[in-house]
Amino acid sequence: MRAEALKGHLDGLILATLKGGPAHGYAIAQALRARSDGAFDLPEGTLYPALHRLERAGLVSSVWSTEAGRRRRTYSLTRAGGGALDERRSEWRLLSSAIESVLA
Amino acid sequence: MSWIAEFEDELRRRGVRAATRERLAAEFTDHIACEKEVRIELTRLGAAREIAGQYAEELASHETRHAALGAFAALALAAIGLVVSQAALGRIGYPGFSHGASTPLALIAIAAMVIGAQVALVTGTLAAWRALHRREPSLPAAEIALIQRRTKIALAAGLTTTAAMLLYVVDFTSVPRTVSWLTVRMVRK
Repeated sequence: MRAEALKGHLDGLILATLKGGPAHGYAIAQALRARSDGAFDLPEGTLYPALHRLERAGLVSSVWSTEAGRRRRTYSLTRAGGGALDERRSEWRLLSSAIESVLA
Repeated sequence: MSWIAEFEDELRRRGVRAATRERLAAEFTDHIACEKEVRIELTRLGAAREIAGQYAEELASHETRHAALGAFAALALAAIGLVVSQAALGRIGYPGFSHGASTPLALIAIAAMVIGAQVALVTGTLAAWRALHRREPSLPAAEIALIQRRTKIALAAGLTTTAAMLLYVVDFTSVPRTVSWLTVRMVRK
């Protein structure tokens, strides 16, 4: 699936991935790939602008840690992020059901 | 040139601050190291210049929006100060533009206060309105330039108004009632 098709949904997908627990950028990219059975083959670098955007909006928070001698930024879902995820899920259900009705 | 070097170079070229560049470089270094651990030879990060460009555009959009709203808040506070001071001066009686140290100076100050305040109000409101209504993460360059231009004009007009208020005060320091009004203002602060 091309990155273009995911436009507008990436933030929600990241929030859903972080619902499972804190993770760093690479782990989030792998989780997205695994959970979509490889369908989401987007350039992984695009995750970071999205993560920073979500952090500026207060939907995720992040902390530095050290792993194998290198710095690592780990992201977690905030309370506001949990609420935003619920909203996005509801919106997606409405949208997908409407599209399904039209396409079927 | 390595992926990280190319990425940092593009961010620098687009004016992204050093602290932000360092943070991103550390994150991408970790990402590439993780890829190497699982023997991914070619990075899946995507094109360094495109990712840097996307990041810089989003950051510029966010900062422009933030600046427009911040400037509007500052101008609103200055406007409240202007209204309160003029209301207080109105209560004790305006000294009259010809009773200060210099009539031309008083006229310039009054004109600048009236015009500057209106320009600041209109352009500041337009900039804030635009910033609030364009919520997409990455604004087009023309949109960013428009909001920045309006914000700059609003701030310049606000500064002109403030300078005119000071000029007005200086011009009327010889009028006893104005001096007492100023003293009251300063003591209350």
